[in-house]
Amino acid sequence: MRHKFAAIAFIAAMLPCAAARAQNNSHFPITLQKELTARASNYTEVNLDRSMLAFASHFMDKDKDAAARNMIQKLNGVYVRTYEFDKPGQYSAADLAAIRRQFETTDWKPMVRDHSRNGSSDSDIYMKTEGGEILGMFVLNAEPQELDFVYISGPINLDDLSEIGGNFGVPKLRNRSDSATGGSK
Amino acid sequence: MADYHNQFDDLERDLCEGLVARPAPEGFAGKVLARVANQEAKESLPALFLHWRSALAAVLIAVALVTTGFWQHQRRQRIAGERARAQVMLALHITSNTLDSILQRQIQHPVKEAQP
Repeated sequence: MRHKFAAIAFIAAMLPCAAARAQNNSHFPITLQKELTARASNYTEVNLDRSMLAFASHFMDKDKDAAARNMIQKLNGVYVRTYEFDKPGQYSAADLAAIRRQFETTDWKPMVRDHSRNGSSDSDIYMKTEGGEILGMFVLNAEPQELDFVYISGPINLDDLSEIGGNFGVPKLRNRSDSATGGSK
Repeated sequence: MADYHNQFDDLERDLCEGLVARPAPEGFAGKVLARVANQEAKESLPALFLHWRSALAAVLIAVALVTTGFWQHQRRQRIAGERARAQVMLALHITSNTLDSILQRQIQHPVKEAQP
């Protein structure tokens, strides 16, 4: 009987830890935030966890924001960081390599790797897939005076993402085939 | 002296006449009792009315407080919701912009390394 109580007490004590760990999994994973924030002349940080996304979705227009609403309802979190620097050289290739290493696991697959030879611009898109379904996306876009990170946790439909692209005054995202056509001209 | 006696007699006669016991008019006691009861009722009505007025005022104040509190809560929720919505839109805008700039770069410089 005493063992049973001990087991129950142990499980009860471990539950909050497990919940905290589960929440941490969807947190923004980049470790260099403090350093980059200190060096940036201007930065934007957006942290939206599942509860915040659900809350926000109640205040979105059912028609006007339908695409965005439909997309965020399924997500666990959206984390965005943009850093603007006064001059180039505020981050190193080693910094970017350290960030990339965090996604070089079996869960994450690099979908796009676009690294310029002179280091003027680097772009990476990593996708977390499971059973053919995209469950996460990490975007790194590095320019001499700008660094952008986007981390989306949860099931992502690329069509939804593309649909959203056309809704913010940003040109609609093109398919890879269109990109190839454009690049080969 | 004779006048004095005459006056005294008159006074005595008046007194005797005045002090003769006369029966009260019919229904006098009933009327007195009815007037007393009516007066008591008039005095107690404002107190009762005042009591109900106070209760009604208290209820109205409570309703006003609850309504104001609810309205304030709703207003705060709406402001927080609009802020959250703006954050979502900003996040999606940056995401879309970043992806688009990557794709634009790929259009300008064909993909060097990519895994499907």
